[in-house]
Amino acid sequence: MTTKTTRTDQLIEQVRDSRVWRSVFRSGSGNSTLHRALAIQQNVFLHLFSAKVRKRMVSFSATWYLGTLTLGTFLILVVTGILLMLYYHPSVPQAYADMKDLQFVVSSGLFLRNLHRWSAQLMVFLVFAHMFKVFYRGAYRTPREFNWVIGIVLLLITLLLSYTGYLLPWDQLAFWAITVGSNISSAVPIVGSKIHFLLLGGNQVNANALLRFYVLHCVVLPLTAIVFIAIHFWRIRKDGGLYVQQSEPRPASPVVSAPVAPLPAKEAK
Amino acid sequence: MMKRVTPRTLRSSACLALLAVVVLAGCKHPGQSTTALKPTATGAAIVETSGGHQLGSTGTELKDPLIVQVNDEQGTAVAGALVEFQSPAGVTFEPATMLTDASGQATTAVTLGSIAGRYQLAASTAGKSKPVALDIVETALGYQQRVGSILADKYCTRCHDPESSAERVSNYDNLETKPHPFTDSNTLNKMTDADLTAIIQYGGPALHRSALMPPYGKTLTLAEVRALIAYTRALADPPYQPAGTVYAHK
Amino acid sequence: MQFIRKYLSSAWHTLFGDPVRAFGIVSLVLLLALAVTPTKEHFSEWHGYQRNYLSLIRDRGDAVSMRRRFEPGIHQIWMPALGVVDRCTTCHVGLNEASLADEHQQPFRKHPAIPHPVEGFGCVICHGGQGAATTVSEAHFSERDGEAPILPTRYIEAGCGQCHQNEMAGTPQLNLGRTMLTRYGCVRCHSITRPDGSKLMPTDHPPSLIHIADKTSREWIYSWLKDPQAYAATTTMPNYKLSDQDASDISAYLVSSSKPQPGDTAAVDVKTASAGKAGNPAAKPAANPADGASLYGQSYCSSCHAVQNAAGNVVGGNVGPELTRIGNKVKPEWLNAWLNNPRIYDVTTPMPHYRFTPQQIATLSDYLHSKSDADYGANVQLAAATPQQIARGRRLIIDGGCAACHEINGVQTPQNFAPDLSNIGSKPLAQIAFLPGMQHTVSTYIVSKIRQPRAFGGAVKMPQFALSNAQTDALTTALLAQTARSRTIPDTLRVAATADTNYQPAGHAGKLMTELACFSCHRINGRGGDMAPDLTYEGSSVQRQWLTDFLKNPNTLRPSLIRRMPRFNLSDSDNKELTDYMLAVYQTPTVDPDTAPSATNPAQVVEQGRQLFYSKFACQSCHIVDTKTDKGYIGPTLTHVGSRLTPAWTYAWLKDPQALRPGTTEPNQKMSDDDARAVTAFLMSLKGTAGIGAKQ
Repeated sequence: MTTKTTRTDQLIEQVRDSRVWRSVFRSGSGNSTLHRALAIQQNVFLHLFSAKVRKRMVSFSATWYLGTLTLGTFLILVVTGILLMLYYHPSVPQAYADMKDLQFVVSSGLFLRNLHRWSAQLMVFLVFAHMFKVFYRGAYRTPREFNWVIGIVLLLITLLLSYTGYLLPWDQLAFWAITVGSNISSAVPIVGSKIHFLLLGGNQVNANALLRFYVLHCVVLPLTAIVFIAIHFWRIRKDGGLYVQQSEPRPASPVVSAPVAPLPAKEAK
Repeated sequence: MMKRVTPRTLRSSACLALLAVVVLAGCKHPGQSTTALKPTATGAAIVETSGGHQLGSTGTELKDPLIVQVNDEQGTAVAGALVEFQSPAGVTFEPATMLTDASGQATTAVTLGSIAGRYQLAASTAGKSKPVALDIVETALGYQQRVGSILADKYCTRCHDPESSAERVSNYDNLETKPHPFTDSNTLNKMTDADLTAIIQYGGPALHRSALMPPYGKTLTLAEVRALIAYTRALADPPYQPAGTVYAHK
Repeated sequence: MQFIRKYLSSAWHTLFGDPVRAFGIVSLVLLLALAVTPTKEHFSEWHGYQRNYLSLIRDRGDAVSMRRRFEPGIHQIWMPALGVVDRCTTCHVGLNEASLADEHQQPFRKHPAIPHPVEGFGCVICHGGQGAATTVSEAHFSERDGEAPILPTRYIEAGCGQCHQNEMAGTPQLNLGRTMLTRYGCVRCHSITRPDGSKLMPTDHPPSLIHIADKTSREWIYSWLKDPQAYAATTTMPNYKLSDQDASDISAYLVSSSKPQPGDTAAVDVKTASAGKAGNPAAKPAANPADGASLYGQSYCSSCHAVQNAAGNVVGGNVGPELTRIGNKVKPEWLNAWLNNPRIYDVTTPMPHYRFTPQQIATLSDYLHSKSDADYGANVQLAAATPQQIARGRRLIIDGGCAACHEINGVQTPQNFAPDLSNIGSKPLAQIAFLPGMQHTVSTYIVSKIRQPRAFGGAVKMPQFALSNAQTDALTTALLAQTARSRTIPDTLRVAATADTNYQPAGHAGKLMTELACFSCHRINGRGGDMAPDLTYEGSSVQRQWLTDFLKNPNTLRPSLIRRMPRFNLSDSDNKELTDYMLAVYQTPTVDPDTAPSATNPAQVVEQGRQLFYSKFACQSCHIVDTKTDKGYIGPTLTHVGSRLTPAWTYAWLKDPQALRPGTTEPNQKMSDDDARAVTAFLMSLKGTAGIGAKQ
């Protein structure tokens, strides 16, 4: 177990045994399996994931990492979005001027905005690709039905984020796109006009609509998304991790010995 | 593992590529055919008939067209000679190259650039052995100089301009002491801006000159006086050089 | 495929296999990413221009102070009240450096002298373009929605016109354009509203066609409609490019719908009618033809009417129609009645009632009838019109919008016949249907539309105006000033138009003034023309006897003028009426006759005044007092000024001419009170040797 320890290693061990480290990270030095499992389990951010995964669970061909990439683009969007919020005022004449400022004055402002916009497009694409991949893999079947529903909710949240974000530059493209979209919503029978009014905060796309969409885009929808992402990951873990064909439990009865197509998964525990 | 490319597929893809190249090369943008002017004669000299030394506004067309005439050695007009107009950046001619008409003249409308000042234009024609060129000077007046010219027309040129027109008769000949026309650069270039300001505001006696020049200090504002001076300087030929450091121009 | 996978996975392992090395590589990538931003800044367009500026000023004499004034980075003129965020000075660095006034290399030239400071207004308000941009293409040429490219230099006065609705000395093109909009009938079809809500009102006088058949023939109307400029080169009526049938039908309708007006025709006096015109060979030959020309000259008809002479020059005024071919147009009996009293045919005419004698009317009528062109309308033969053609003519009139200008029986004046142009300067480029090959700017669109309206398709009804390039540019400038920004400018920055009042004098004197059409030439209380002096304070300025004599027989005060006041043959009672009215009403409170210098002046003061007149103030440069020695004829001759002007007025005038008549060319010589009193005394002593009215 003990290999040749270098001076650096000794130093690292000393740091990990110190009081400060133990106060922050709880488990001290040591490389045992317990240590490694505790490092994951006692971390508020990481404990959502399982401490151990099978190697085949992270195989590329299973998922093409689409879900991970979706999460990655979401994180890019959050970071770039917060940076953009530093320069953006959600008021009617100011919003467009802020876009111009980002383009011409802010250092790498255009890059920041483009990164946000392209990540948004990419995220929508990845979400759909992820959905199709899950479908084609059959990873929606028992016990993963509810997770599929959560995924659909996440899809809707993604599309809503895209839609609300579209209005924020307040240019002609934004204005008319949202006008068309909100007019579609008013076509819903019985409650259509009320939905329209609720969506825009008024009868027209104006300052109220901009503010409303800004709050939705920056606060409400991201928080909702984070909650649902947490549920989504939690359910992945609780349903037995990523769905890979080989991870299917062998049927209990030894009657069938030849390899057959996997039956609908029973409780795989 | 490379897929074996059969000769048939290679040939068909090459044919397609060739076809694409030919089709794209054959596509011509409509209306791009240019017809070059073919001169039928050459002259020996080029002279200005009218339209030089005009005062125009920046960025606008000159009032009168520029007309030049191509003559041969004997002085008779040459028709069908190619005349080309050149200018510094900003000036446009409509048209820039043309053949002289039956009377040997070439007419073009000149639009000056957006910077105020003197523009040196050139009209050239291919002579017998080498090109013959003619220098033409036009002046563009900027905003301040335009205001100055309007004020000058109202207050000054009745006395200072010896030329009369049908609408307005000159007062120049009625004065015992003749005023200097604004084009008299020999005199005016020796006067500084302060001198001119003084004589405009306080009249002739400010510079020990005739009292026939009235004081305009209470009639015109200082900005208007400056505009008048700017206009006067624009008319100066040779150009007015203020005293002080001279920067070498490239 | 396998090979690629193997390669990728081995590369991944090499780079990120070892965590420390992975950390190092990621750190390196992060540093490189962080270096991107400052590198991009360094190579940005505006930074390049600022570096060029620094190298430009390096070798100048005042390089040190110029460098000190220079600040690197993005510069901005920010005025939230005006909605201005202009970053133009980032590249145009030397905008306020005096020594760069002659610099040829743009963008470093100093801004030419203008009445407004750049810091107070920014750039985009006048020049257009996208102020917030820091790249050349975006700042100068952006065509996105809500942005407009920079205004071409030839229309730069349109920028002034957004705030300034008044006439200014420095914007001749804008002034001309705005005058043309009202004078060429543009505003009769297109409504144009100023930012303060007032509409541009027309200043032209298109004749009413209700009684047109009394005045002229159908053949003349036909020839006129086919080409107005062939009849009168200076007419403002545009060419509607009508086909022969259209013109025939329209003229048929106009003639058939014309109602006769009692009294607008007078029988032609056979004795004085000229032979040949009426086809009456037995009539006596006319009186000496030169009489007609001299009566025409004495009546100063050319002050208002133009005539094209043999050389092709148009001479005369443009208040009334051009008379070059009047003989082709009007019926003799109509002309006689018209010269007798124009207001019977047209109550609103600006032509004065001349009170000619019948002999004078006959002479003048003959003379005018000789003004005809045998070639004009020579081959016009129109068959009698059928009711269908007449109805078609009426339809054509309605479709063409003729009633927008002319009063026509049976056709209502159309409202909003043509698009509203109040915001034409801000028309979004996406809403303009450009012709192929046209440059995509609003100015090009307006110019092309004015020059060739029918090139924009058959549905366009706008007629063809015969305008020179300068006139078209002027109109375009005036139209480009009608922008959305002009409506949002704060009120403190707006300069209102000086609109004409609709002052109408009261009582019988008022009726006389309307009959004599004084306002066609004179300006009184803000209404009228600018051909003759402003009479608003005439009562304070002139003496009664002079005014009475002048109205009886107007002479000239300014010998170098071409246009003069005509003689109206006023009766004594009319004369007295007008004189009393003017002297009583047209006073200015600033000139009080009671505070005038005393009427009798000692000879000493008069002599002192003479000395001052000739040596100190040198008034003889412009005024003539003694015809033997003085020759200056810029101002009125003062040989009889003692009988003409009142002392109080003269004194006030000498002290401050611009206060009494703004814009006069008389300089304010800052005379002291004593000097002014002396010169007034001298002037009042000049009562002239001969009677007033002596011609020069």
